[in-house]
Amino acid sequence: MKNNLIKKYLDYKKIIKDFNLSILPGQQRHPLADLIHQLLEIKFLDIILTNLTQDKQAEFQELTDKKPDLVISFLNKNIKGFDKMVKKNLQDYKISIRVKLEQIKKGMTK
Amino acid sequence: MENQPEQPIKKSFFTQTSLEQSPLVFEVLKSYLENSLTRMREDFNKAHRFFINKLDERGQTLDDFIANLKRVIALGALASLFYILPGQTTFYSLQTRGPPNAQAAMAQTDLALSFRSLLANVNSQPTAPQEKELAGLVRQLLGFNITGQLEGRRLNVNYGNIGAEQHLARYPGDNMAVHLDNDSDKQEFGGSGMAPGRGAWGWWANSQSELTPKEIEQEKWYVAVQTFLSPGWDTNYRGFYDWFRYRKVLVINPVTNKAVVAVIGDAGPATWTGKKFGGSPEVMDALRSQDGSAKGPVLIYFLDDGDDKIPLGPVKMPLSAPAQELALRHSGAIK
Repeated sequence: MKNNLIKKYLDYKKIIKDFNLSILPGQQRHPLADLIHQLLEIKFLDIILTNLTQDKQAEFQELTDKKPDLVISFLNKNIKGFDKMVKKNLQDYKISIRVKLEQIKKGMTK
Repeated sequence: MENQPEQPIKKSFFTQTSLEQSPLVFEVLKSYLENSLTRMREDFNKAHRFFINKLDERGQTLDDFIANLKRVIALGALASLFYILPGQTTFYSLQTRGPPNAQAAMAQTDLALSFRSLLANVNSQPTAPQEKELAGLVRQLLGFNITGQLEGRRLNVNYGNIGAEQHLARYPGDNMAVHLDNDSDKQEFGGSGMAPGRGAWGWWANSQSELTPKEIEQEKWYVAVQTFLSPGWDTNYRGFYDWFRYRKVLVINPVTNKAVVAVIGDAGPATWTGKKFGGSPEVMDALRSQDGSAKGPVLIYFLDDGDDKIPLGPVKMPLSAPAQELALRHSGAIK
């Protein structure tokens, strides 16, 4: 799995950059970025589970607990086009968040 | 897999104003994201009931699992996925840490929301706890020391309808032709006219040439209060009369979220009117207090400004009325 494909969607620094959240030099965190990050993380898990049967979900749970080194290969094996799907779904979701935030801000600054 | 170019993020909107420079926007966006997170968790639990039940059987919560997954990812090829940074806490905690500016903005907005929430719930004479809370919030948000009781004196009420008064003559011969010094004011406030008699404390000056800028401001930003009903008035009429004269007050319209620093410049209104206070045309305009019958509810408190440094006139409130309503709705303070 290519790290850079997924990193671009959940990379904390990229969230700060994409949403143009002002952050001071030397600071690493931003309350809004934290929330966006958490939303994307849940979405990521949701994508995984939506594409696994219940049996595989149980296996995924088990592996995560007991054989963490096999999790990545498990996802690639059991979810066809995992990388691409993650990319598309997370990107769509990210855009929907951004659009909504823009709408709210526009509504407040009219 | 091909590394497809990512759709460019349109930044023009967000780059117009940084979020920290707008505490209200910051707070509303934060509230929206928090609510979204709550809803997402609820939806997740419904959509993945089987997975949640399996976790229950293992004695785990979703938080536990995600924490484990996070560790897995940190160990494996997806280390960059969650890009864990020092100090990051659990997934679902609504973290409030951030850059100092953001923290300050959030703290200020929390205060402003508390202030607005308090005002929204005031529809009669504030209780002692409300008065104390209000004074505290005003001190923190506006930097003013307001109090219901100053040097042993109180107003008869601190909440009630304020009615529109007329301009007061400041010196013998003052009239509407010369009272307002610019066309804009004449157009806006000229129609209010001038009261036929003098105010409770007479002329401000003996002549136009003796009128000081301070006195002009006092007449411009005056309110009338029912001094004659204040506790203790009957026992020390003269002392109270002198004490109330041009006493500085803060007037807040809890409906419009407007406020003005004014002085007590007249006594009234008469009790039969049902109104508790009166306001100069400029005060009423600043408070946006005029409904169809030229009145509206306000809060009035003494402003302890011993050094007389706080200028008279409108006060910049922490949240504008439409914005505060939006913020309150987003924060769940009102529905």
